[in-house]
Amino acid sequence: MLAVSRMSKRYGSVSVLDGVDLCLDGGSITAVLGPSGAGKSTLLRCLAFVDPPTDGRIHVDGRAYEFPSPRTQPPSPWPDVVLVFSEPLLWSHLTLRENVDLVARYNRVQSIAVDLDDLWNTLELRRAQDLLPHIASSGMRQRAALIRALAAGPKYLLCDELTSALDVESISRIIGELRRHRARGGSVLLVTHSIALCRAVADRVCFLDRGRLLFSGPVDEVATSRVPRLVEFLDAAASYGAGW
Amino acid sequence: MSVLTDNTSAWLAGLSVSLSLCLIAWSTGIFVGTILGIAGTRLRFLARMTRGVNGFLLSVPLIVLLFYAHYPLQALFAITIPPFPTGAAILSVCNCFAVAEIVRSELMHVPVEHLWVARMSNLPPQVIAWRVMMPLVSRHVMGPLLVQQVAVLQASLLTSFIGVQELFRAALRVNAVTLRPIPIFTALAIILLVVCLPVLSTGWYLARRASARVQA
Repeated sequence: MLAVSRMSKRYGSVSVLDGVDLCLDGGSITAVLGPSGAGKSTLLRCLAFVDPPTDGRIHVDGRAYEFPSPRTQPPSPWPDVVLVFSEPLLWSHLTLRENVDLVARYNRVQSIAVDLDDLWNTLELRRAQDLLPHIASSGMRQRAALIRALAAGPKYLLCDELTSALDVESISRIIGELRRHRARGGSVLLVTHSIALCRAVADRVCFLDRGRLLFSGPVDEVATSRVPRLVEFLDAAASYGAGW
Repeated sequence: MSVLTDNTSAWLAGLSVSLSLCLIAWSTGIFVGTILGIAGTRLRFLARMTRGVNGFLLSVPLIVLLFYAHYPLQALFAITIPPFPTGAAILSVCNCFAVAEIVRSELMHVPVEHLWVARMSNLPPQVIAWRVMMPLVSRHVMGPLLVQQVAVLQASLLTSFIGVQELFRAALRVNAVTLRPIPIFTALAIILLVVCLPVLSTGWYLARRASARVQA
């Protein structure tokens, strides 16, 4: 279980996250919705330990991390927790396959083992394996970044706007892979602006606004929520036909 | 062609001195400048210092620095240093700070997220350094670095004014004997073109390739 309590993040005097409590169970997909600037990407970076929180506590499978960091802290929970950024960030001097193989070589023991051969096939990247990232399309790069993240065998996969610039077929393949990760016992925390994606894939939904978690509950309860800001957000989406 | 063939030994001697000067300035500049540049990404005062010194060296013309180091400075300390070491030292110092600025600014432009991804992926630190960061950074640095080294080669011609017997000085000597300035300076231009153009082209190609990869 990945649990967060009273997590805050400040940059100077600007508060980006304010007392967030969150829990990710094994075998679940949680979507994080919220307007731009709500702190969604910061939440993921804090949870991935690449931009540590200012205050709060994170528990990862029994390991407790306090912030601000005391003198002794357990080693960062990598690669049990891995973040896939909205930009694929593939290492540009390596082909798509080399990007994945380099990670796989140093992660023989994995929390959630994956069959890489199978992944290349299901995400339909087999023929693009030997392309350098700048030659591959954005969809190919994003799928390769997902394979590279899964090659580390993470238990908790954090995805930041993974499908924002992709075509429907690429999105469908990625959704399939996220579901397979859930079926293998892994957890996914998915930041997205797409309500359709939320409904299609999430078990739970969180709504973040101005750094505060205003709603967290099962996907079925979103439509009946009376949190005013969430209702306003969903109404805005409904006004152009993308509502819940 | 006769200008080249009739005075082969003079041209070769000049080219040899020019290349020796450049080899000293290139190796010192790249070695020390790379260390200064990398250290500058961690030590803010060092970054400020290299930027300031580089600004000074770019503002004061090289020929002024050469004359200053060769005449007043040596008179001030009552020492006599031959022109070649003086020229090599000034070119090396200029190259060091120019390379430091190139390395530091290119390092700052490599997205830190690449490093984060490598760490999250559980790669050992030495693998991150050698297999991920070094190739990423060197691809960005190589283009401007090569262009800078060509600039050093061209700047080395100015050392003739303090008496270094390099390529330009060789051309002046041949011209003093043969009195054929047009073919002589055309030959000089061709020699420099042959040396510089491949290096420059490689630099431009690498810079363009790095830029294309960043945009992707």
